[in-house]
Amino acid sequence: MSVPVERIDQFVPGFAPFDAIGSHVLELRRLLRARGFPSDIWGEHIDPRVGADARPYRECPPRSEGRVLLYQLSTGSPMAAWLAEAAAAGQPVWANYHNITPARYFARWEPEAAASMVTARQEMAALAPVAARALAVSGYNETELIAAGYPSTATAPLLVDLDRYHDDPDPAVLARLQRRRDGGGATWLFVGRIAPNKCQHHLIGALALYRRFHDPRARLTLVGGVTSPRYLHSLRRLSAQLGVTDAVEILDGLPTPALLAHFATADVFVCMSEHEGFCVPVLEAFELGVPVVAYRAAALPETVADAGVLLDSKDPLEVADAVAGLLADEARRAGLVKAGRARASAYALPVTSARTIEVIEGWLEGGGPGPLPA
Amino acid sequence: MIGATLRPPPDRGSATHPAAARVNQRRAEDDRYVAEVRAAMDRLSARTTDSGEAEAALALVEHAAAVDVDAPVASVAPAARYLKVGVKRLAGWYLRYLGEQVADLGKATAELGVALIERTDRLEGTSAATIAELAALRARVEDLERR
Repeated sequence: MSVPVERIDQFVPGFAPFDAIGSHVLELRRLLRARGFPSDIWGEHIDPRVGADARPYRECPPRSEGRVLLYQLSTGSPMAAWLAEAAAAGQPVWANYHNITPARYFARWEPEAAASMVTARQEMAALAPVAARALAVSGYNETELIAAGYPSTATAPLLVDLDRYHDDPDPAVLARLQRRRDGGGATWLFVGRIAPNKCQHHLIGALALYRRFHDPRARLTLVGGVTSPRYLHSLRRLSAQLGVTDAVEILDGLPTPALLAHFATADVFVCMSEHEGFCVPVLEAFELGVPVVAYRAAALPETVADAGVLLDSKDPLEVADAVAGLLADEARRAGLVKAGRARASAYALPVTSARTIEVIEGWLEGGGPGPLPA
Repeated sequence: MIGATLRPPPDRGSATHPAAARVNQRRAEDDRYVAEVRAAMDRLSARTTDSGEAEAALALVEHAAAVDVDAPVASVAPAARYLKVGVKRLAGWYLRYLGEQVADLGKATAELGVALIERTDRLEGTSAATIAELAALRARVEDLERR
């Protein structure tokens, strides 16, 4: 006889504040508790800033009646084997899949990280037969779950509180950026970790040609923590090689008010990333009224939909021309800003929370959730 | 004026006209720059082949190929900083001369690596096709023998 589920605990390999998965995990815990499910967070690497919100997973009792273990699957971790053992012992294990970067992107830059990604994919495959349910944050991710053999899957978007992007931007940063903007030239913005799969080199290449043929005073701001120092080094060298060092700003670890100042002064958000399981920064751009130009890859067509310019080519000249075409056409730009805001509202926290609860409660009642609304 | 020798109008497409020459030169420079940007994009992009290990090794060669001769001169002691600046100025020309040759050697090694990887990929592809062809022939022979 099956025991009714009374609590749902989350397991997170790397738990940090402000990043997409950390924020999602905290929102999900709030949501589960609000629905009457006690819920705790167990981590492998716990950032001290959220130390009060999580405990080391090794301290978690592996077996407990009426409990679901929900694994936030995004990277390699010994936690996966621990959860597989718990599942083998009869403990229900579910997965929440955020995608794993393919190792080929990191092989030439960070071979150790690439090896870890290979391990993560192996762990994902090993969990498939024992994870009773698997929730994906995008349809793209769900396709991978199905291909890996997960028997019961559903999609519920990442939980992102877009309201927090309406706080005041940092006034000092805003003043500096506005002074710079007054000097002329379009500002391109991309937010995302400095990592080879995000392809910031394509942004630098496209900006170089945009400056050559359209706007010699244009600049590019790259915001994001450094995942690959070697790739960062090559980006700096590329900027020097193409003569755009002064036009490319690379910023690590910006607090939210400073990030908001960058969004407030950006003319366009350009994303050439080849691998994204969801891409929260695109939603941020939508919410903050910055038009989006993105390469059609991985989950981006799903997240962007018809609210941005999706490119089938990464040729730097075509990217430069696409951005120039958008910025020269005020009506088109305004239309995309409006469409972006509408798209962001489809991912508002009440909407995504309702979908997540629909899926989880559907599973707990023994049935499957309905399809994800378009 | 009748009978006067008329100067032909400037041929705007002619490379000999100064303005056209400038346009052509600018266009050639632009083309070179576009080609340079495209080549750089290609160099930094992930490969889609399975030869990951060879590529990783090659990436390290490429990474080390550019020799940075601009040595840092920062120091907590001002005297040491001045000394470093002095040595750098004295030895700069020599290091640049040496650095360029080492960088050229690195680039050549990297190019050789790329060529070898591509050749290996092609050979692997050919060998897979040959194995498939052989299997098909073997099956056909067995089928004929059974008849």
